[in-house]
Amino acid sequence: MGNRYDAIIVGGGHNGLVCAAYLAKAGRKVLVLEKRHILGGAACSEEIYPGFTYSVCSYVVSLLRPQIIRDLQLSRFGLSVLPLESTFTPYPDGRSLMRSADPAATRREIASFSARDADVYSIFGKAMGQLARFTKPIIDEKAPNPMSWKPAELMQLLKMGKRFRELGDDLSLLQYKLTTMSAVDFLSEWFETDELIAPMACSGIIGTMLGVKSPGTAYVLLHHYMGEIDGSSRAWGFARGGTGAISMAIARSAEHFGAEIRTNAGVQQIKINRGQATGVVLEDGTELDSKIVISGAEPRLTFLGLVGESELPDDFVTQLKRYKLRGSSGKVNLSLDRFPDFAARPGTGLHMRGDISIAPNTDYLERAYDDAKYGDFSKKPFMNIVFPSLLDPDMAPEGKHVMSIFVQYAPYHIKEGPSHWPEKREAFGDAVIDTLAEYCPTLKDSILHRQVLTPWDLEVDFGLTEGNIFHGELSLEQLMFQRPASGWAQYKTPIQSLWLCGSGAHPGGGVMGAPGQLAAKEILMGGAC
Amino acid sequence: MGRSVVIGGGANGLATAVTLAANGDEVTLLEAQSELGGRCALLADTTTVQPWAVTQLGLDIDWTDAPATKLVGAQVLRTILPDDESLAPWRKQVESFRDMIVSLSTHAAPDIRQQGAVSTLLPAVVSGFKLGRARGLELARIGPLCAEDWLDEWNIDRATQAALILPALRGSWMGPRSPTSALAVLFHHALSGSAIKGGMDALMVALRKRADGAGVTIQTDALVTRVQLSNGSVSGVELADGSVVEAERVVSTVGPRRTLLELVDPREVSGSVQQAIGSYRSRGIVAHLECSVDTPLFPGAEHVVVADDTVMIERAFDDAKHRRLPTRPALEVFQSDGRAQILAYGAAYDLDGGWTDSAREQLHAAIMAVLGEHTDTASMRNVVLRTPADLEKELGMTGGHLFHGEFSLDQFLSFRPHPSMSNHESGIEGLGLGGCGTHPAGGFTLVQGVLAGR
Repeated sequence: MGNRYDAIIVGGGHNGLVCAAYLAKAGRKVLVLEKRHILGGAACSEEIYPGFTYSVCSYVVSLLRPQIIRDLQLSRFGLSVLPLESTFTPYPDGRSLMRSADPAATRREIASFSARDADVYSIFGKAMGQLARFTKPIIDEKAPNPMSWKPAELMQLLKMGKRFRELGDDLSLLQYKLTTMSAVDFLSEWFETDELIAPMACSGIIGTMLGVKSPGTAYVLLHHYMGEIDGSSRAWGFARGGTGAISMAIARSAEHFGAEIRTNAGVQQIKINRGQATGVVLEDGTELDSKIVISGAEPRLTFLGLVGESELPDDFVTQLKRYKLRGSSGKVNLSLDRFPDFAARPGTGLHMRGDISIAPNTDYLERAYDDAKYGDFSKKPFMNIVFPSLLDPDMAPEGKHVMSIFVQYAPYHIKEGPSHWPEKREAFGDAVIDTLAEYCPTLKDSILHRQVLTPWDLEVDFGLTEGNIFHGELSLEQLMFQRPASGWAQYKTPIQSLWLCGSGAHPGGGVMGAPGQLAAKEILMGGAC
Repeated sequence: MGRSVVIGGGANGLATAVTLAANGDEVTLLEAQSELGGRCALLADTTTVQPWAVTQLGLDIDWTDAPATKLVGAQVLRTILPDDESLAPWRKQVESFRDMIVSLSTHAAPDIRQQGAVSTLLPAVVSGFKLGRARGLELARIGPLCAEDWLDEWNIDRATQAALILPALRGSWMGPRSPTSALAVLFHHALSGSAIKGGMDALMVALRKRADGAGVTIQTDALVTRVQLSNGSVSGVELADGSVVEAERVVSTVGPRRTLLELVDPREVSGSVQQAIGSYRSRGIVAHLECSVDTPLFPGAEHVVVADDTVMIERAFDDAKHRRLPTRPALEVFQSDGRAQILAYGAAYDLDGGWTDSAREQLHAAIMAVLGEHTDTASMRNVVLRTPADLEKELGMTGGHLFHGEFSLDQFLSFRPHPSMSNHESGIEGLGLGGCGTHPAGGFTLVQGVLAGR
């Protein structure tokens, strides 16, 4: 059995590649199979139009685990992360707000709205920093299993409880509020300025089919502060060469450690023999055998698409069917002939070298959500914008620019049915550009090319079921020991020798790499291959 | 033993007074209005009153089967019976959590502070143990869900869902598509049981009788304007007419916010308490309309939900969320002989432009229009409409909220109104908090009165 692999990994997204690299580094014979012609999954860079490179889907990096960068020597393999230095919010009335890594400057900016909020902002930051220290270990260890009596599992739960106790009365209450409240309610306990609350709150709704006033959306605010304690000055960064450069660095590292990687190799089926995964069948009919199969694909796709219902326990199938995906966002990538000035603050200064939020007030964000709730894309969407070409000039020809626009809400489930998205694609793109033109009057005249990705496209082109960018909503009941299913949150699955390593596993989505690393750790620890 | 004052003569105020008197206190109950009852006169639903509280208080009342809810909507006209087969699997799940929810709701909330009373944790631990880990995890899964998603899991059609969901949303600031609304629905149905024969009136009569029997002094038209403190502890209360009632202990049932931010000298309330109570959310979302009728608006039904489906409720919530008038409010109608009381969901307390006469007229017209789709409204007479602003002004309900505080994960159990006040304490010696703004959340249970009294 010379050509039998220790592990076959389904999907060459960043998590699959991380998992492969760790297994290869431990001496395992690993094969990664990617359906597309390029690696990275939703973390990819593509030159869609000559000279213009897009981070097609995922466009910023947050919380890429430092230990992964270190263990896999990603810097050596070409990874270079540039910090996003500011968060800029323009308002329709011509005012604007920039929050940056410079506390004094940020204070001045906020004070022009409210002196009180300017004071509170740094106190708030400190409190959140303390909570981040509590929460951060959670994304660096497997989810506890509260159903188990194993001493190690009980110890993990106890430790978590102890850490929580150590926060003290005030901070543990704050942590509880953060986990249960809506982003707006939570922030309103601290701040009085709606213009400040709105752009802060929207980090809580990215990728989810909820509004800033929906309970449970406050939690993601913490991610921002978790990034800061990782050592970088900001939580968000941009990889030189686009997000795909991260995947490429991981892939080179994996190959360096001996992993084999194939593109244009879509998996059609995971082979199961007597409840045990034995390999895969490719779309071209090729069969490949391995000791274990690890899926970086989204869980529902993995089990209901590649394994088949008949192989699975009933209650597991029920849980998978209940698993909420409900993509809510789209992406518009633009090639620009020249830089489109924001009327509220022209120029390409510091405020354009970070991310730009179109989130003028909380009512605006809720109205955007209301459209989606009843099955339509937002007429006036929330947008998060980055100009990659300002950070890395190689992304566009000299003097020209690329503009990456994350758009929410674009619900997968539109009232006409998801398959009707292609007919609405351009109307959706128009709504985005029209809304943006209110802030950038010259934008429309600068556009050379426009790429519009709807949640339908994300599903069809990138295998993101229902267009969900996180492989499943990051809602309370789908996190930790319930991701993706209660009792199956430690990368193991009801099928023997079949494992999960993607964003649908703990700790969830984003370009963190954590699910891939933790899955590899569990697999190696248990001696599964 | 000593002199106690209870502020507020609603059902919970009376219950608190009775409990204190039974403990040997000399109790004076002060009610601002000329009649007892507070907002209770506006609430016709007695199904969430806990038998446990009634027993503790020794009330002389009879129970009767809860009235079946009639659902009236665009495409539907059905009566939801307790033994409805299509709802049986869902009801079974609710039933599986009932003991735990009732137990948690009839004991003092767990004191989760580091220096907290460990004994209060026991009931939670015991009921958690009885529930078992598998069901505990299931509860952890259901709690954060949207009510609509949860009921979808049980294949309940969205029209029927409306009838199950709307009664649970009276006391929350949520729609059927808000996460954690499933928990509100679960709590409401787990705490619902039999109704009191004779309704709220019979309950008030029984409470009054019991209070009189226990020697409680009742003063009406006695608006308390200040809780007096000396050396940081309670010495009595001052009334609007300038008179003073001395007491070593005061329990206020008029809502935590109003009590601590209006009745107590701000200098006596620590900054952290002010902040905690200041952020306690009680945004009213329901208007109240009552009228007399010659013939019932909906014959043969005591409780009617008027809603097409969950979307109609969600849209009414959107209206409240955006502080605009609801175009089609979802309605709960309570009917008894010759009288109808209607709760109109979707009326925001903080309406843009305020509750002017014209805004009130428009709300009135919107309610009538929804009713008019299904019944003849001509026989409605002596119509009185109370917006959330009226409820606050007339009855002192902060934010015009029916239960003094929204039901939400961060405002229930130990968190209601705040962990530092979870044992009906206020942080001020001698001042206790009672009423619906305190534990337990989940509607009108009467439990707050008993627990606060203790």
